[in-house]
Order: sequence, then structure tokens, then C-alpha cells
Amino acid sequence: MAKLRVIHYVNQFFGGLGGEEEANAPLQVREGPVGPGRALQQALGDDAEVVATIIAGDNFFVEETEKSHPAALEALKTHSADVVVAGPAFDAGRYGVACAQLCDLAQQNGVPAVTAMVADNAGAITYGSGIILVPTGNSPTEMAAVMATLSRIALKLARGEELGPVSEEGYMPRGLRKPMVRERTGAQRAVNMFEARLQGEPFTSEVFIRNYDEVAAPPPLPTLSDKLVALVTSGGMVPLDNPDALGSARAEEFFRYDIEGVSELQVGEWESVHGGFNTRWLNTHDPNYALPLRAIRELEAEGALGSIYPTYFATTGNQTAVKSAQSMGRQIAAELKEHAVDAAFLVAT
Amino acid sequence: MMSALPMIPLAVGANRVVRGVRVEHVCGDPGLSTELDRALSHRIIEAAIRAIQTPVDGPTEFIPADTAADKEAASVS
Repeated sequence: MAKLRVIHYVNQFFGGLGGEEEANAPLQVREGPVGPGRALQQALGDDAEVVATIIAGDNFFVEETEKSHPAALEALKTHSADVVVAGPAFDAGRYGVACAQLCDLAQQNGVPAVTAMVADNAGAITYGSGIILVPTGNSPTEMAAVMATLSRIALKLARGEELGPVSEEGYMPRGLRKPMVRERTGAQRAVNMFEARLQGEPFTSEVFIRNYDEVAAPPPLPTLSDKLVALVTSGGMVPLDNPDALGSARAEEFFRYDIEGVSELQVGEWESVHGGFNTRWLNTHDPNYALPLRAIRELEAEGALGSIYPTYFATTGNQTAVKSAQSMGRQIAAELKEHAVDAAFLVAT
Repeated sequence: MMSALPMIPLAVGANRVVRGVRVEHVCGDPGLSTELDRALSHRIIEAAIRAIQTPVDGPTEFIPADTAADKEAASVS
């Protein structure tokens, strides 16, 4: 029997092109496995072969989809892929989105696909319910174990076999329910769970709830010309030399910086310490890309904005845990409310 | 909020999302001339103002106004 044909997707880092400076690298295809693809090949064994590896810069794949998606699709066709394995992306946000997009794209074109990343990854949040996604921890040290799960699922998908329940296969729930016959009725199972709970014994709920907060949209303001507006950025934008030591990733804190009387952010006075993208444009060309103070002041002068809150709020949105983001958001919102701020502009990176 | 990847905030429920340029330069474009770059930044903030003035029922994307001059500049760069 011919070997099943697997296409692997990795980003510029895992593909050996380079770090963040190569994040705009266009998509390229190499024959055979590259980087973590070798561990994938090992896990796949003799039944399947990693025939090609698609490598693309994270920015390129997710920002230039009009180029990256057709190129990826072309590669799947050229190499007659039976299945696509993307990543694992762990907690890398853009890489996760790229992996998830590729899986979505492959599926839509009749090629089954599987990827892996942390459950909080933007890719999982955005595409998780539509694709087969294996949850991971944050660290690439798990690579071998993740590849084992990915390859087991990939082989089944490539053979056209149906996947078993989430709990057995190890991928994230997609919110699908399949009919099956249970030994006991729902009422009996519920009572058993209740008893187990009362006795402090382990049990597994049959109801899985994993939803993000739904925040009702605040009503519109008819005009901002008489309103107080605050600025928030997750672009890691701080005064030069980062006086509060804001982290470059996984930030749990935010800081406030004075912008009263400041008409724009100048190179050499401010810097971004964000560790998740190349900050050269912010730090050598124009810091206002992450905190658009110049345009804000122009609009304030034109009368489109009433006044600007005298401090802005800065954090780093890079591999940030949802819990930390919620905590920071609550604190910032509370402060804005306390000071009668009418509206806030948040620049997210 | 302004985001270069609006699909992400829209997916998690952000209600008013303005489409930015790129992750590396959300509120402008270094590939443009200074004048056009600043005009683009201006329009992104105007889109944010428009977003706050617009009633929305749920996650909604706002796209900054386009100009012919930008398109020309973008195709040249």
C-alpha cells in the first residue's frame, strides 16, 4: 500500500528561516520534513510520509492571506496531500492563527487537517470549533508527546476513519454531539455524579462549558467632541529604558504614563518592549503606530475629540493569559469609570 | 479597539473593532510617504470615533475610509 502523504506546516522559526526578523517571509515549500517535522515523521512511523513542508513567516501567513492561502492550497494539490499537520504552535499567537487558518482552508478543500496549540491561543479561540485541534501546554519541550497525538489523529484522518470521542482522541471539543448508547440513563448518571461529588470522589461532567465573557456593547455616543477619551495600548509602548520593567511577553501588569501636553511620541523618547513582533518600525520610525497620539492630538485640535485622559495605559499583549487580560481590563475599566472617562481607544497588537 | 487582525477580537466578542494596518504598525504604514502615512493614521482614529458613534448589537468591524491617493502609493511601494 502506498504511504499516506502528509504535509506539515511550520512558521519561520521552526522552519529554520530565522526569528521575528523573518516574520514577513513569503510562503515556501520544501520536500520532506523540516525541523519538528522530523519528530512528526518518527511518530507517524512507516505508514505515512511527510512529503513536503510548508514554511511561512507568521505575519505573511495571517496578514497577506490573499497570497498565502492560494500558495498553501497550491502546495496541498501539488503534493497530493492526504492530510495536513500544522504546528504545534504552543502559545505563539500568530503562528496559532496561521495553523488554524491552514487547517480550515485544507478542510474546505477536502483535505483533512489537524493542529496543536494552547487552548487560549488566538488560533484556537478563532477557529477552534471548526477544526481538529490538540490542546498543548506552553512549552516546546512537549514536542514529542504532542507529535504522538497529532500523528495518531493524522493517520486516522488520512485513512478516512472517523475520530472517536474527544476524551479518547485528545483533541479539543468542537461542540459536536454524536448519538451513542449509554449503560445508564441520564438521571442515574446525574445521581451518581452528585453522590461522587458529595463524597469528594472524582467524576467527569458531561457538560463542558468554555465560553468567553459576552460583554454587551455600550450604547453609542452621539459625538466625542465634548467627551473625555482615554488611550490604552497592548503594544508594549513605554518611556525609553522601560522604567517599570514591563515584560516583553506574558505580562500580568499594566502601567500608566503621562501624556499631558505631549503632542506625539518621538523616536528615542519612547519604545516598545513587545517581544512578539519586530518593533523596528515602532522604535526607529514612529512609536505613534502603537499609541496614535499624534493623530489623536490632531483630532482633539480639530474638535472631533473633547479632551484626552492625561495618562495612557500600557501593557504587552503577547502570550498573555486570558485570566491576566481580564484582570488588567477590569482594573483599567474601573479607573476610567472612576475618572468619568467617556470612551477609550485600545490599540491591540 | 484598533487591531491588525480584526478576526481575533471579533471572535472573542470585542464589539467595536477598527481594522488596523499590520501588527508591526497598527495605526499607520511606513511604506507610505510621511504625509500619506499621517493621513492614514488620522483616518484610523476617525474610524474609531465613528465606531463609538455607531450602535452595534455585537462584534462589528469598522474599516477606515479609503482614498485613491493611498491606493496609488501602495501599488508603487
